[in-house]
Amino acid sequence: MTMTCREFRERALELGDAGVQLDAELRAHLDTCDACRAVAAELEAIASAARSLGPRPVPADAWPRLTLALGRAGVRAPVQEAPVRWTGTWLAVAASLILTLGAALWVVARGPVVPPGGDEAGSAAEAPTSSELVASIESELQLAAAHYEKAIAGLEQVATASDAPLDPEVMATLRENLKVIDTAIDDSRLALRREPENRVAQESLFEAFRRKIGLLQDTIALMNEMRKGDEMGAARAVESLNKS
Amino acid sequence: MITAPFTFIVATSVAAASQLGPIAPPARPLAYVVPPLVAHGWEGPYEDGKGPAQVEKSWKTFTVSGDTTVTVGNFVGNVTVTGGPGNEVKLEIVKRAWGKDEAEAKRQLEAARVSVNQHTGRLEIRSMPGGPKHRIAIDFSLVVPAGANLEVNSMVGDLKITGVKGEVRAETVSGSVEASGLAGLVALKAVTGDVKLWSSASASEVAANSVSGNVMLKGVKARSLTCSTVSGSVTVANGAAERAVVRSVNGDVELVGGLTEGGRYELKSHAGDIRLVLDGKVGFQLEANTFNGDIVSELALTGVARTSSGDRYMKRKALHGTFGDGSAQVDVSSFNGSVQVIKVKKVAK
Repeated sequence: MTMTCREFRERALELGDAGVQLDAELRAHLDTCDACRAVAAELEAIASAARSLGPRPVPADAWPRLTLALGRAGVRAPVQEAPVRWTGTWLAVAASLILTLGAALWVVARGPVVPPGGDEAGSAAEAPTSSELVASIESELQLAAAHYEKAIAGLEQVATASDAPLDPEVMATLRENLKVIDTAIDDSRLALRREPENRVAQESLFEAFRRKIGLLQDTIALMNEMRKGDEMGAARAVESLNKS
Repeated sequence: MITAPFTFIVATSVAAASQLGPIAPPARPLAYVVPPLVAHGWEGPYEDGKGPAQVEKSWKTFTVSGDTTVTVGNFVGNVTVTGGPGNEVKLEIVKRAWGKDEAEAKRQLEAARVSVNQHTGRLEIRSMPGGPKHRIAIDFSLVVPAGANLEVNSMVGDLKITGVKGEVRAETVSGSVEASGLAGLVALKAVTGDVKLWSSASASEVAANSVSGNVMLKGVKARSLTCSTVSGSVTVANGAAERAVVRSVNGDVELVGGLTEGGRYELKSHAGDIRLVLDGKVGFQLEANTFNGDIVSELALTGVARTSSGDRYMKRKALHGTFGDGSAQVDVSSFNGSVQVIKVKKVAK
């Protein structure tokens, strides 16, 4: 049966994440599908943006704290950090971009958090002071934010290119909503500066981060969808209609 | 609207039809250039300030298996899908094109293309506007077998889906999504527009999401619900689910009606209020938190732990407690908004 574009993307994502070469079926689809070739070319730009991020430097104290957090959650931590690997597959890169950000945020999220009700036995001696916690949160948030901004800049560069598949009004809407989420992030950060251990502020911050990641994922997915068929022409057609 | 009975549309009318565009790729097992029956019309001189308009309507019927997957891809225009009896897909296409004069509108209309490809177990319908200056809208109206699976993707236009019992995935970028009478896995999404689902009972998952728009579910039963928006409100009323995650960043969140025994519910907003309007028939454990808002509960909770602001307003910042047997778990959190737990006296139908 002929592979559909959706099936292609799902397969490519699975294979790409493992760094496996496209198989014959996937290549056959690419050979016959202008849309998916266009998507591949488009997302390669995202890959470039993602590569420009460079390796994510993990704070020296992050791994012990991550291990500790995993231990509290009953999860056995891996022995060492998995190396960052960029595959040649655009979908994998896009996914890795998101996962990198997500992992970074998770480290940020789990690291400085002190469980409500106090520390567990045995960890009190290692517990950082309140001022250290604040400094740690700020430091790691700034680092995560920097990666965010680079990622967003890369996405925007692709989305606002002359032949980008997204309608300007749609892109404006996405930007407005990213600002809404940014406001939530700013609110939560401000609250955490005042009350670093406040659970609502912590959850709100990372919920906002997750939403932002989700919106970026949606943006990528939307671009993919718009590439199906003659989307470039469609995008221009929509622009033309909107200006009428 | 459909202006001719479907029974009137037969394959023999293909010869009389106007050609709409290129033939679908020959490699496909079956390919049609719709329509077999075409009606042209001059609707000038103006429509919506876009200049003279040309309209063309066409119809086609396809015989499919009951569990076929119907996919619709559209750029500008509305898509309406209704589940019905039998094993036929009845497709109506209404193309509209605009130009500075009638001749240009006609050229635009001729450039508006629709491809329909039929494979085993799959029917694909796609509009293909091709040029940079096209001013075209294409509306699709379909009647599909009730058990069919449905995938609809649209760039600009409203989606309406009724009575489809298979899996339904429907997304539009600019426009609303409205659906009812669904029974399978449901995934509805809009970027700019409201998402509404009502009177549906799914044994699977139901997801209704928007970026900039409201999300409303009414009378929806499902194994799990996921509803979210960034800018807009989310309302889930008079339904039932074992799991529900309901979120907004900038709007209010409301859950109205009953809970399910052993269910887990998570309602979150950053800037909006959260209202739980419960009938009190099912016990639950409540964990409600806010940073800048207040928390009030009309339901009497036991084992209450509460935290209040230290200022003169003494707002309640956290309220944890149990109602009844506590079988369900309800986690509620708003950063800037307030939380209200209200006992409903009569759930509105």
